Amino acid sequence: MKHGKIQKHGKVIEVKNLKKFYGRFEALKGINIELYKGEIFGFLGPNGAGKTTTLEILEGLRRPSEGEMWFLGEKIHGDVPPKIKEKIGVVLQETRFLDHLKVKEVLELFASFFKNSLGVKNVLRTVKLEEKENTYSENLSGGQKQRLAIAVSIINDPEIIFLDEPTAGLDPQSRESIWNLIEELKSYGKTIFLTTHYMEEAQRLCDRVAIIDHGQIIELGTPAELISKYGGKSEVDFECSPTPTTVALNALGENLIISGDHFRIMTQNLTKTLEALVLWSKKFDISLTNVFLIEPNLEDVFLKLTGRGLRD
Amino acid sequence: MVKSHSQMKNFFELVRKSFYMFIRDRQATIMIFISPIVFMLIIGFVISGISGGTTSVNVKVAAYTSNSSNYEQLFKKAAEKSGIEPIFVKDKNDVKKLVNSGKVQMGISLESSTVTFFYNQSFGQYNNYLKDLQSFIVQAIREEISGIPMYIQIVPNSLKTGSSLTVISFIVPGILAIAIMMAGVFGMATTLGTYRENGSLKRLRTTPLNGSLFVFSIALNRFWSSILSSYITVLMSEWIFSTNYNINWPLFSILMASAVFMSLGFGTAFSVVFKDLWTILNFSTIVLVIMMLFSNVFYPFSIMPEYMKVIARVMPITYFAQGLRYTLGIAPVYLWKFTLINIIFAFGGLLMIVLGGKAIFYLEKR
Repeated sequence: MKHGKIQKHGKVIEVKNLKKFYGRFEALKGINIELYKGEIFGFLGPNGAGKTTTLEILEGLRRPSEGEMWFLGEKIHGDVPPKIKEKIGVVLQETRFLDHLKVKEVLELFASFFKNSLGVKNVLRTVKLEEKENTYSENLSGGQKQRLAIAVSIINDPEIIFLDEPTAGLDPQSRESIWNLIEELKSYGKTIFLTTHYMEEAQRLCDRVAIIDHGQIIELGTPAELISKYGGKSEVDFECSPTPTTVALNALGENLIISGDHFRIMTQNLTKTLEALVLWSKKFDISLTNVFLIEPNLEDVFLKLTGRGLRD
Repeated sequence: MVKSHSQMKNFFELVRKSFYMFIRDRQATIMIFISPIVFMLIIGFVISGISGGTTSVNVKVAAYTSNSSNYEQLFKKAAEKSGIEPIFVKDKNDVKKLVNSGKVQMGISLESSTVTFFYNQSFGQYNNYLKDLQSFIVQAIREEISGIPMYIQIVPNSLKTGSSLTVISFIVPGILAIAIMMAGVFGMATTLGTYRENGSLKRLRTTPLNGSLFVFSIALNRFWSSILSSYITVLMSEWIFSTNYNINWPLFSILMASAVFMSLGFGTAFSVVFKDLWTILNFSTIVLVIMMLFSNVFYPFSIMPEYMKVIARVMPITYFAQGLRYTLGIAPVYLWKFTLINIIFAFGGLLMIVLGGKAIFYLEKR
């Protein structure tokens, strides 16, 4: 997890009061975002909250109804111009490349669209697809396809990379490999705008996250800031042998919750609570079993801010 | 290492990759080459089976002119334009006799204010192309005698001298026109529709790629394959149905090139108007069926009822089939008209491809 405030080098993207109407429906109600060079910015929200609309406006796929946007210091009027497209890389939610092309041919093709190219071999090496260069793109596995999508997004050596749910539907190994790749891109100084449904992913990768709901950003900050603000208490879950006496239980304080054989202590300070628990077990000669430490995470923050009701 | 870039590199890479995609898509490739032939075989055998149209006969024309010094020259000029070499007779009754005896298939009498065509009903199988020829002759004569009112009296049929003509000869160009239109329209529509549905277009829109260039590169690969397919189909028809065309290959190639561009342009335009692949395909099918039934593909323009003529006049396929018959040596068309057809087809098609490519990218997800 990333902690503390990121060092703000320079604005790469600035969005002010971004609005989008579909007929009378206001999909975006005035989004304000600033992205800084070299950061991974997470954009989280339930289905239909406006994540993809915002992302597609930034990618140049949709036009905003109102608002102002600056890319790399340049104000965008209407469509995102080709010279800005030269500097961005995009991984869409679902990417199917042109059929009947081999991996290296897909990269050669996309490389030809840009003035700059990192070179097909280099990019294949970065995404670890060198052995698949002669495989048809439609024959790749899900994880490999996603790595190819990332390869295509970086072929032009972009300054900003937009990743729309890059690990959706992938197995844990593939997901881990994509996460490593994203971290590697950050280490090259790329600015990454990431949308995801996986809070674990956002917590691990993002320097800052914005939570959007009903077309507006309801919270923005580093994961640590948001967790500390909204995450609530940590928990220590455990079982005991033998069953503690009433005296022993009273010694654990008011934050203890008993549920059959299971015990749970809610705490603001996990380290101190753990130290106290170990001392308690020695004092009353009780063995602790099945001890689980549960820290508040971004998912708790997300659910607290957006509610637990199902969304379409 | 960062490499340099140029628009030409971009274009050649697109064309090269489009070629790979096309050539590796075996089903699409086979369809382009096989479907016109299958189409021709099915309709050809059905038509020839019904009409016995594979029997070939030399069609001859007898002509009478009342004032030999003026009208004979006049008629010769008009006939020359339509490729006819008439047999001139001294008496109008001789024309009728020759037609009735079956020695010629059509007689023409050109008198002071009337052109009369004589036909023999027993040569009904020639009606299709001879009716067209008759219209052409009348038009040519009108041009030669500008200002003189013409009253044309038509008895049954029409014709051409010296050529070996069959019903299938008339049908094959129509089939070829339909097949080329189908391959172009469906080919572009399915390719672009599929790219839109699988998200490829959306992905390409996030790059600086020019939409027109992308669509044009796809069209180029469809272009050469459609041209090649048309040559194969014509040669196959010569071999199977002994159509015995007198093919003007340069003009045939020019017409094919412009018509293929037009069909690819229509495919692109349909993909712009309709978003859903199935809607595009259904609409294309309806348009092609209308074109097939309400044009001169299977029957000549001159025998159509008036309301159909109006529809046929706005159908590009009418002019495509007409041009094809001209390049295959079985129907007369003015050279200026042929040129105009080609210019309109080529520029119209090109315009639809270029503007359509821009529009497809522009309209993709707004």
